[in-house]
Amino acid sequence: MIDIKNVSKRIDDKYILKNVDLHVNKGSIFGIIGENGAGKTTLIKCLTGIYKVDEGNILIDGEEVFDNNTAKQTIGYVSDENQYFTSFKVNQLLKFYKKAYKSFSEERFDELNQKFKIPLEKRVRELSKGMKMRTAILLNLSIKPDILILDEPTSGLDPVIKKEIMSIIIDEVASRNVTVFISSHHLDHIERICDSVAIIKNGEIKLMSSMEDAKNSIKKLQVLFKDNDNICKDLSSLDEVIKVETIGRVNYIITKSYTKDFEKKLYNMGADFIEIVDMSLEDMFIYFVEEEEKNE
Amino acid sequence: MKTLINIDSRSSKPIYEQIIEKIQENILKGILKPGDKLPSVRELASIITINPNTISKAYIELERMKAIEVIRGKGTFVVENFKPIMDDEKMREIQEHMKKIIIESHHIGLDKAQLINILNEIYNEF
Repeated sequence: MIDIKNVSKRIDDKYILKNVDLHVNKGSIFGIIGENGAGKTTLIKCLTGIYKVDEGNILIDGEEVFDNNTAKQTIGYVSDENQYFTSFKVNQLLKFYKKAYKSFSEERFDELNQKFKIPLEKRVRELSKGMKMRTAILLNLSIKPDILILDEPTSGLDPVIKKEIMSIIIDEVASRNVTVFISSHHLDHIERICDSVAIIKNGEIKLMSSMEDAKNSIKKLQVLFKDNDNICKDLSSLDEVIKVETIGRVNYIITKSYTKDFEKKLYNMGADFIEIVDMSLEDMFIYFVEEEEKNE
Repeated sequence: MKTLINIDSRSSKPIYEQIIEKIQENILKGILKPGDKLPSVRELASIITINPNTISKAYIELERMKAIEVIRGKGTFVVENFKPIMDDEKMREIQEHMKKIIIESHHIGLDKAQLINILNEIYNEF
């Protein structure tokens, strides 16, 4: 279980994270998405106890993570860039991990490596990008972590490896009830594997919701009005509305709190016809980021 | 199984509902037969790369509908004699859908008889 309570982090005088408040249940997969530079990696580095937070707390199973070796023993962390000594051979890395983590299991390593097929005699620098990422995942799964933190584990990898990595993460959750915290730009994957998702922008959480609630409440409606003049302004002033786009006679309304009552409201405003248009997480993400820009 | 349960993550329909629909459709088409074993939650999650909690939610719902049954220690199976249970809310939903279809058909000049023909043809496909 991960509790991020009101966390703020400054680097120099700039706030990188502002009042981040997130909760991740045990055995669930939590996705964090945001533009480049939004603060995802900083948040992850706070979460893994690499950075010290300036305000707030980060609790893992109720314990503060910073400078806490016992807590860190249970965390598997795969960073977005290779963090290993490039001159190390894979089997030297294995020994290193064995020394660092009490729970490291060579058995588990061998079992997983039948699938991963990482050559143990190769040096880190001789491995391809995909291989390096898989090595990092392999090592971190071998410590049998309670919590797995993955920073863009699939960026720059081919679709086959991407799918394989997702399957392995899913399998860990299903078989060992691992808690996963993942950041990614591959929103279709996030959408498929996550229980909950958060959107971060400029260090602030803009949306945090279960995937299902997000699908049920954030919707794009295609609406035709009897009298189309001036309706756009009225629509934008509604609390439920994030954005209105008008193309010809058709209004596209993005709402963050869709209910049947909201539909009724629109009918009362003179809507003739309302239809729900499919909306992916990627669409939601873009609208949320754009909404902010409109308000700024 | 992978192609049989094709999930569209762009759809605004929650994924667990899509899984339920796909399994129901496969049962209706006879691709899944009574007594057939379904993949375990873990297996299916891994095959179609979907969150295991979502799969398990869909299975629980299908079990409630009496479309599948869990036999302890053996796995999950399609039930032998499926007796559909009438669900008022679903019924209303279906009526709504039909209303929409009838209006749309009217707009493109399809009459009642033609519509019934189409319905029969679709039934014959199953």
